[in-house]
Amino acid sequence: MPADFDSASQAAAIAALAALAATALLFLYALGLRISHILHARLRLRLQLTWWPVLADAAVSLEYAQCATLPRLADRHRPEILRQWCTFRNSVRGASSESLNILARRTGLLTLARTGLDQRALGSKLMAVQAIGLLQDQHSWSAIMALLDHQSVAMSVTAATALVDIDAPHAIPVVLPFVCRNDHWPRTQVARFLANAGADVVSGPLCAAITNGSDDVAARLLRYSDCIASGDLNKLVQRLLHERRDPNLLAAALKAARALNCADTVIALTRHKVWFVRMQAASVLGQFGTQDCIRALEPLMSDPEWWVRYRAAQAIVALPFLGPHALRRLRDRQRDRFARDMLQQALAERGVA
Amino acid sequence: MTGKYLLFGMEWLIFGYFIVLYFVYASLNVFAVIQIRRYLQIARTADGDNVFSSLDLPISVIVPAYNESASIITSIRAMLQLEYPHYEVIVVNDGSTDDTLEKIQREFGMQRFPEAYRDRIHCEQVRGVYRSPLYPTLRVVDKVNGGSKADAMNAGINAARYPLFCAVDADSILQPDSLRRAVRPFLEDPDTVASGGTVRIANGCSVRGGFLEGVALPRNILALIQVVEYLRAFLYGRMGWTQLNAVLIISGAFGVFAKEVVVQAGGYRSDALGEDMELVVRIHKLMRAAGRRYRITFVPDPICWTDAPEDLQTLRKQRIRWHHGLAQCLSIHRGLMFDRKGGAVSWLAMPFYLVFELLAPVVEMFGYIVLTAAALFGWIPWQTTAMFFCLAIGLGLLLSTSALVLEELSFHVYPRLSDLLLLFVAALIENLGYRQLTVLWRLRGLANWMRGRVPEWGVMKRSASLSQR
Repeated sequence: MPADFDSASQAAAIAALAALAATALLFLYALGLRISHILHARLRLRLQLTWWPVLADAAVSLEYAQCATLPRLADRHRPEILRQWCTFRNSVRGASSESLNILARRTGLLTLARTGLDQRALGSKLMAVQAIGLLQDQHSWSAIMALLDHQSVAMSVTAATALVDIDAPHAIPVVLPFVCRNDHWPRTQVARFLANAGADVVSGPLCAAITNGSDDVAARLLRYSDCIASGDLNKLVQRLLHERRDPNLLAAALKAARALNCADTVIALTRHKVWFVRMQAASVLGQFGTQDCIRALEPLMSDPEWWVRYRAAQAIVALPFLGPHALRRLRDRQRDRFARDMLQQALAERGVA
Repeated sequence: MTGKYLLFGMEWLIFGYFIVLYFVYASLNVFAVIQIRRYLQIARTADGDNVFSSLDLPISVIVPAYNESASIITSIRAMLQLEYPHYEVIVVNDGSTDDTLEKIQREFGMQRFPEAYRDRIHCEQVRGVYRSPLYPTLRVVDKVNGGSKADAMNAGINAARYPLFCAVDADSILQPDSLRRAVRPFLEDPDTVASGGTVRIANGCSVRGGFLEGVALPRNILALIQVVEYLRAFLYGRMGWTQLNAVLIISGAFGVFAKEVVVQAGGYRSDALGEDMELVVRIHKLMRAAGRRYRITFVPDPICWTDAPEDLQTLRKQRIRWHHGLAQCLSIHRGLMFDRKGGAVSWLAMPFYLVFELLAPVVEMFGYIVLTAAALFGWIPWQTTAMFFCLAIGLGLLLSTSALVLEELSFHVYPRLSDLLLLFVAALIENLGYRQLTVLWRLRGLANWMRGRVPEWGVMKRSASLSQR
């Protein structure tokens, strides 16, 4: 028998022992984590039972927030209270926010949040940035501005949100170039901080960014058209429809349109070579509700693309001056089977089949 | 003498295989820890993501149903109550021979609807589309049975209106916020084309109205062991591959896809046994060949709960089918292996699945046979064989315990301290008999694939907790 047989079994024995020892250690670690989790959950509950009534009272009474005797708070419990305060603070608006901010300053949460900006752990830092924004701490402005370029998307977007929370009119011109540059910023969060800033603050700079931006950037920024005042938006959309040629931008502009008064331009776009531009044009034509629109929409029901046919049929069915009889007549006079089927579906969706 | 040296070489080969296998898994574990920690740190501070709901991407939830009469109503009711601003539910009745369609028609007042159905992906003939005046977001596509879930899914994709679709099994139990969580990767990264959710075992849990009410471990030992298996597979198997953008499987029980990408890829392949894995691998192939930026990702939150087999017969059929499907998929896409443009998918994930998943039962069984025979014939001492068995068990236990640690670091779904102890005992038992059984079944699956046999599907017996949901 080769002597090396022993070496193979020795190696296996050592590896098996190492695996079993590592398993035991890992299991003890898992056990430790579980016990720490249970203890932490209990602490969290205890703190919540003590502090949520305080937060609730402060939210409804400025006097309470300023003068009430607060429960004792150990330093090691402050991070947990900061987390609970953020959750609570995010759920209120108006005067309650101010009261809660006063309470946070009294309990040393602002100092804790400022210290948190220097921490390396992403979670604690995110919490700190969020709290500073909610506390509208002007002193931390430059520190937070430096985080707009952070490698973590979550951090850079939270920093942008915090700047808007601190001082929206100053923040929007600073933050918008980052929104233009970073197409991977989550759109729901961008929309949220733009909405928090308000249309009066956002509308002008956003319109300017769209007008001056490349086709790609402008199409992306049009997603946030809810933050643009109606009058500004219509002028902007009409200008884009006249001046730009990129199909993505044209479709985005048509999608953002609310009450246009340039039917001829839109009718011309129903003949665009790219299907999604034709589809958006069909949707918008329904808003005009004129006889010219029917003449433009009817051929679209025979379009090779299903979505164009569908939107055209929906737009026709939604026209206010066409009653059930007229719609059925329109359906029956369609020679193209696809157009007839699609109009039939749109009628059925409206319950007039 | 040569024979003994050959045996000696085999010993080291088996030893080396186990060690490399462990190190690959350990690396995946490290990737998974990084990924999950990052995910949780962000998730804990993210709040109110649903505030600006008009920007959420609308989703078509597609539910293929074949003879699901017992549970379909509860499933649909649950799906109609998901917390998501803009979605539709499309139930595809795949030529059920029971009263699935009639039950849906009765319960939801479905009426035949003249839909201009588009046949973008081939599937069996659609007999009709039904819509409910009471539930405008619900539609039922009734089609001729296509013999596969893939065919039903393709019909659902054809009928889907929205840019994303979510494939859900009719017996999957979702969390109310499942869709919102699964869509997050699409909102956070515009290059995302598919996202999978972590699937957990529902046996032992209490379910009411199609939603999960309370989490508990199953009492059935087979289901309990599968809890550990699923933790391993999802927490560090798939999360680890996410870090490398090389996830090859998104479970058919719950997955969200960009519809146009799936249509471009040709939809689900009807003759594939593991149609979920086959589609994902095909998407990788398509995107890499086109040189397009893309991301296939995984959400670690437990967002879908499924029933696990509690009897050996059903489990055997399931495992044979899974391994057959894996072999078929790797064989179909063998061209992707070591492809110049394939990146981590071609150079890491595909070889990994070939060597450490597909061939694992072969190597393991080979080891058991060779070492036992060698000891029986007196070629090697019994201690050597025993040491190798200990090594196999020790590494298996270590991998399962790593998954338990990941679970503790992340979601600790099972609430009691005793649950953790029970899971550890299950991990131990898994290596003493269960694992060897699954090796046999997987070998059978491999053999079936080599012989071109059509696998048995069998009827899934519902666990007690789910049969009364």
